[in-house]
Amino acid sequence: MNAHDELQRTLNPTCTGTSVIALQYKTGVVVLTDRVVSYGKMARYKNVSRQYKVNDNVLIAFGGDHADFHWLQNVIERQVLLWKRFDQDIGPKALHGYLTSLLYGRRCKMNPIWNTLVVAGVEEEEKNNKETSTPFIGVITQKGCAYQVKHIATGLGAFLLNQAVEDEWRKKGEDLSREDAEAVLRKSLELTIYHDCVADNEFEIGRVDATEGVVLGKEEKVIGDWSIAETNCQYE
Amino acid sequence: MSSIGTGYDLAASTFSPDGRIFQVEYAQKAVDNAGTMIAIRGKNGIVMVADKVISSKLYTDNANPRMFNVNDNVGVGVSGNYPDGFSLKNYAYGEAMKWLKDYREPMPVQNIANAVAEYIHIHTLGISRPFGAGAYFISWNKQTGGRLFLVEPSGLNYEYKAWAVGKHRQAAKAEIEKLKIDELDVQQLVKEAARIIMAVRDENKDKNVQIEMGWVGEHTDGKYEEVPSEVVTAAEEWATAKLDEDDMED
Repeated sequence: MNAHDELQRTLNPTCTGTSVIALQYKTGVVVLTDRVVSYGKMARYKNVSRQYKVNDNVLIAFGGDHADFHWLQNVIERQVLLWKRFDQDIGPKALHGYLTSLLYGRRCKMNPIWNTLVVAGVEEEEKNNKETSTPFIGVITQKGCAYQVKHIATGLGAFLLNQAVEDEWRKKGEDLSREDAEAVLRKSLELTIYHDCVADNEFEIGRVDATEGVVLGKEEKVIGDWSIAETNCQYE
Repeated sequence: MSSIGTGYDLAASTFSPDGRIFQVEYAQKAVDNAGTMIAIRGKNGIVMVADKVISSKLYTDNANPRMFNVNDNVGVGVSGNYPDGFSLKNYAYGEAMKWLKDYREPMPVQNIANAVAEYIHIHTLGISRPFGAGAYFISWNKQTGGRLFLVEPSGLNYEYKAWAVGKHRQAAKAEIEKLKIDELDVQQLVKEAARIIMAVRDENKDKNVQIEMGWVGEHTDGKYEEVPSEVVTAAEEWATAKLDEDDMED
């Protein structure tokens, strides 16, 4: 590293997104993100999606820097094209692996990509047999630390929600239905808007299903119950 | 070629006294002697058809295809020396990737054809041997309609309504001219194109041949695709019947 290299690095993210919450259900994955771009703590832009459809089998959601993610979308798009050249569709496992190497490589250069990524999808186990496809959720942190999970909450959600989501998951486990999984996500978002000042109450739930493929969510809104606010001594 | 062997045909680096570059003309011969390949622009799409010789029964179905996607919207069809054509397709592919990186949108067909033409042209300047292959580039979208380019071994790049290259190109072009191609939709084009390819074949010489087709148009939502084998088979059957019928009349 040279003397003034820090001047050429992203040392702080600028326009950011907060938590991503994802959960596996019986035949797929549901992913929730809110739809705001924050500039510091200001809600700078609204109605912006934080989910990107890679192909019919893979959906990526992100927290962290929006500009970095837009760049990543282009990287992913080119990777998808490269796979198509060999008549293949990139699956969630392969993309998760690729992005892990990419993010790890960048952090080793002391120039990290400022995103927490959630790669959600269904992995085809057999060609042309969707019944054997398995749901997949892979997480990659900004520093290239990567792991696979059945359910995840990132960002401030990691502190607030993982226990709540896991409790719900354990009740039904692999048999969780899509409706139940989405209910868990909606409840989780409600919890984040009470505690995370950059979380927004406008959100979307995207999903990847073994038979339906990627279905991007529609914009939704939750109001929540703010009567609890009265008990907060700093609340005016 | 009257002045063969006069010493000006050993490399593309020197003009002959009458202003020709023999190596480039010989490269063109590689395309002229290859299997016929035609492309036709119709009312709502473009169809590209190649006649290939299958030199062994041991090849897998559609081994060594001559038509590929450059990106989702643009198809390339190569004729002539196969490895040369394959390499051109790879170059086009790399250019489309660069475009996608720089502009974050798919590279348009004209830009692809231009990039490849420039690349081919550099190889006519005598640095190395020219490409013994030509390449069609086709695409269709709502704004511009269908577009069809052919890049030749000289680096020449023209846009066409329809064109034919290869062994029986003259006969094929004559057949295409008889059609009102502007009025034909893609389904009709597929049939007519199959008929033309089969009609211009030399029955004594062209044996173990197979038709390969690619299309892009309104029906594929502007995506270039290889034509499904059922459609090709149906077109071949229609063409055989049509050709037999024509023979009866004669």
